[in-house]
Amino acid sequence: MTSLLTVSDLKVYFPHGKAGMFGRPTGYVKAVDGVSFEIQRGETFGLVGESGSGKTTLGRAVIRALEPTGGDITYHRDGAAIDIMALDRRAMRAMWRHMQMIFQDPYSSLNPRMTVRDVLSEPLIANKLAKGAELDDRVIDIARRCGLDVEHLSRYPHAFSGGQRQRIAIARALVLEPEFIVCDEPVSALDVSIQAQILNLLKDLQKQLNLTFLFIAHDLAAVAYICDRVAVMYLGQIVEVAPTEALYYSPKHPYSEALMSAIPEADPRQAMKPLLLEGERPSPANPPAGCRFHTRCRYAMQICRESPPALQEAGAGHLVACHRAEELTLKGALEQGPP
Amino acid sequence: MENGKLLDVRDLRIVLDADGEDVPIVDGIDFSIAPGKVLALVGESGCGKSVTSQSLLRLLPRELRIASGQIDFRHPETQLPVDLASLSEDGKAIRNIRGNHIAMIFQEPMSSFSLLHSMGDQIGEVIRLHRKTSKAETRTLVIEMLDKVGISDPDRAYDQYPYEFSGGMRQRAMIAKALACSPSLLIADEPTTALDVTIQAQILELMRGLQGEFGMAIMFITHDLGVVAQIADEVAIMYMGRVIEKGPVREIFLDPKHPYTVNLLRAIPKLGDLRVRRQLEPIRGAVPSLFERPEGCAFHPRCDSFMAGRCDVQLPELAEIAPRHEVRCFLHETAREGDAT
Repeated sequence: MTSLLTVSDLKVYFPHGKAGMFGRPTGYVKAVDGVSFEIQRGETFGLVGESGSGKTTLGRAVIRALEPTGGDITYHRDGAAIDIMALDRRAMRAMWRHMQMIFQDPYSSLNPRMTVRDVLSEPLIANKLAKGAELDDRVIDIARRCGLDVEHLSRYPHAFSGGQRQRIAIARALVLEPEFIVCDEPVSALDVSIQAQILNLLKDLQKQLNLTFLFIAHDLAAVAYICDRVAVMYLGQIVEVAPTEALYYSPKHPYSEALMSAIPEADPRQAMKPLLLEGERPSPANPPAGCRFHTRCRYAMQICRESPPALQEAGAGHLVACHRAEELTLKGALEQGPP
Repeated sequence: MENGKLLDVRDLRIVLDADGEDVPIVDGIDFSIAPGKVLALVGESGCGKSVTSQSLLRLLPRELRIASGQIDFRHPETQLPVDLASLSEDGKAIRNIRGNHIAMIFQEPMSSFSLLHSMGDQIGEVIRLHRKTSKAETRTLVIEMLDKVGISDPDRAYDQYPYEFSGGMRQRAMIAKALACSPSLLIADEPTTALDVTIQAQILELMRGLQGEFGMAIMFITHDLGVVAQIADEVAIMYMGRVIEKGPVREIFLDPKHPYTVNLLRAIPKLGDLRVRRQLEPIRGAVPSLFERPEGCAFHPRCDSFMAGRCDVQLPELAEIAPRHEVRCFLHETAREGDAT
């Protein structure tokens, strides 16, 4: 596999607490604070963490849908390394043909005054990529691939169910033939029986069109199902990255261990034995010194309160930011084993 | 009403008044809850699970009404059944039960709190209303309650306002408010849906602990089958306003009978399948609109075992196929007749 996207030391800070109308901000919420990772071409890279951990902000920042405060993003295309942060507005717009996004709520992400045909044609027209018969062909082709009924293209979004709307949103993202898609909670607003349809559709499209996904979700079972590798975020930083099975079954960061233990499995024989986290999540405006997780960590020692651990290799493709990673033996999901 | 039941709902129908025409939202459901047990009412959006829970406390929105059926609740003071469906919506009888013997918690805790009053006063209000306690007694009781739900420094928390609480703390405070009068039934409508998995686990553990301590029954409304497997004793699966299968939690998950239940369980990702890389099997189509309810069994347009001329014409009965395990499907009719002979 070759690298598609390399992110290093990415930061997104939001100013808060202005003193007076024109005053300087008194502080910054460090939503994403020095994050580095690499996404391989053709893989699904998962991003998990509690709300407020910065996963949505990070998803937007890597395609500059939101302007990062600092750091580097390199996108590899046709053998060239493109410095995303150095692109001007115009060049960035051109790049967005290759990088698209799918959102959580298929009710607010579609213009109610546009027919499905208009929704799917607009990106092609705006980018001057197709017109006339070719435009029609491309719209029909992507609609079919996404499981939409071609006869329904002249309808408006309100005539569709949530699952079908999400198919429309996916088709819109794919009509420009992008390579990289940021999927931000793409199934969490959908009914249980529909979620599987969309997850399988994303898997099929990935194979057919050779897509790369950054998949952001809080449903850890869905992430396990669709992702090849997963990164865990806590208070704006990545604390662990590993191939899915390694992360779920042998996590190496205490926060990942707590997350995995709290997944309610849909099997009454697998009684959940959650490792409950102590205390409240600290504010991202004022994160704890040292390891940011130390205030809630059952394994914390003096060093954890003093110096922040670096994200380091701890096994094949397994990165973890924990001072005690080597000495701790942590529990994975469903640790009590099958019945 | 049989002995050993706390709540017994029979043939409950709730209709929507759509320009003078009654559209059924809940179309004849039956279920019961034993004291101290957890019943999960499960289904997708629009199946009528939340409306059912609102009808128990007679809190239906204006455009909905109970058309027929009985909701028998064993009153803890008299031990006699009261038919909640027959009470006046704002009468003394239901107000004595609401928040006192039957309490409710929701997905969004801020729907239970006013921004303008301190947390302690709001929780205390419930106690003062039903128990007629003095101010000082109420304060002691509230602080005790806040402590029980795991809020640190409850004495200080009493005087704080909702905005000073985090999401998880508000959820705990809402539970404290609901349990303040030791209800015999707690209705929990998607109480953990908006929460992170680590906080969800805390709240579920808390509810399980308090349930044991107070001996109350819980009616848990959710679409999350993982949560159901972890918390329920009994499960009722709803589809388009009807209960299509119900039974003990192990039977529903390990030996489901209705094609909808079977399909639903195959459509959700499970961690146990991670190593075998099982493909999810989605249910085709979507839940139809309530205004276009399919004839016969409402699931038939999406069902792989659909029998033409049968499922699309006639509504199967909810019938017992094993002790306490009931299914509403023609597929299991023959097995039943076989057992009878």
